Amino acid sequence: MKPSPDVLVAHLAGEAVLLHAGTREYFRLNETGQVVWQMLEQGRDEDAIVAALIAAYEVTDVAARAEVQRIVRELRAAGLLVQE
Amino acid sequence: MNSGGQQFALTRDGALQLRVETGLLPRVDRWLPHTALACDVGAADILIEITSCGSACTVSPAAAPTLRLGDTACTIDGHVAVLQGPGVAGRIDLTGAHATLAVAGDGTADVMSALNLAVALLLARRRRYLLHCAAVRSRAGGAWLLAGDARSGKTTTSLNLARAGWTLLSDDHVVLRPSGGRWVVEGWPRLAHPDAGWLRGVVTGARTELDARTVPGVHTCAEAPLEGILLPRVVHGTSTTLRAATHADALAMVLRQGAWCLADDAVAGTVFADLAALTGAPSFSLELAPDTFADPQRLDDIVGAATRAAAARTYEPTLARGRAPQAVGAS
Repeated sequence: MKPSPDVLVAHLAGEAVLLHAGTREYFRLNETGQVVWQMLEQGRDEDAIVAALIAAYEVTDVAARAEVQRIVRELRAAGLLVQE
Repeated sequence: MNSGGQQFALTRDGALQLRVETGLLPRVDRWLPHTALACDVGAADILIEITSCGSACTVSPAAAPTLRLGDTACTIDGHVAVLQGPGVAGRIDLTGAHATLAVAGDGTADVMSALNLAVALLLARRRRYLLHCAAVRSRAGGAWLLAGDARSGKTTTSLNLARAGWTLLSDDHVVLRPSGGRWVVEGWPRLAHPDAGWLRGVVTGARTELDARTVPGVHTCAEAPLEGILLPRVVHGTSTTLRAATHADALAMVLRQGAWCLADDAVAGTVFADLAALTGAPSFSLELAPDTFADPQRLDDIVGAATRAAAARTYEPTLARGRAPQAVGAS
């Protein structure tokens, strides 16, 4: 998955605001969500994102993977991610 | 092009002008900002013309509306936007910076929405942004935007701060433009619609209409450099409170109040980047309780201290230009 070319992003301090240029809907990502999004922008895969979250936060592999999969599902459902 | 009628400079520098066909001025009179100045009829950098179309104003847009404002639909197809609303039809040449709004003569036309959309789209092409926000100038000389949804307290707060010694730019609409590395807030004031009991300090729930320029103690000004952002919201508590808001809080609210600026795909990336940049100004959530409704001085005490501290932090607004899907405003 990769960010949709229709998405405009503002990376702010500890948060990101995403605007879907097609639907004009905007979304907010918290600090963790912003980390996931930035890694998706860099083309990193799920394993790399999970590893980054484990390194940055006190979280188990299982919990981090479940959260990454959940946020990716939500981002995809909102049209913010597209298939590579 | 119709050469008759009256013409008004809408922006301070005269770049955006409105030409109104003879006899149609009463249709747009309530929309005209108090700051609009009559000028010679002629060419303008950006021109909106109001013409008569009899009783049947229709256009045939080729696609589904891009956005709606009230009952007015706007369809943007490349560099042309088509407007269709009650008693009004319009065509906006976004590249040519010219719009024609044909208005029915029966008095039912919703000219307000059509004009707001035309202005927002034409100005956005020039990196100027019409926002549904109030604004006041602090004693330090900087403009504070009040960004909030309908009935969030924008009008009451701006009028009360003006009564307490601030200066009113507008209680409803402003235009922001970049200038010399800063953002300048230009007020577009019109008749205000506070609670009918506002001057008596009593909440009635009904709105009245007044000209803020006639309220004792209220002073107005045309523009000021952006200093910060207030995000007002009416709450049911007992005490009005002010707390720091995040950049994302401010950006999200300004996106809501300037959504029309983002409708044009050709400039959406730049608009988003600019709104993200200007909302980097110090921002505060202002939760309005009844205690300050009747007490402008108390509101001034609460807002003034924080805004003075914010202004003293030598905030330097920056401008950042971005294009989709490039990230902007990285912290």
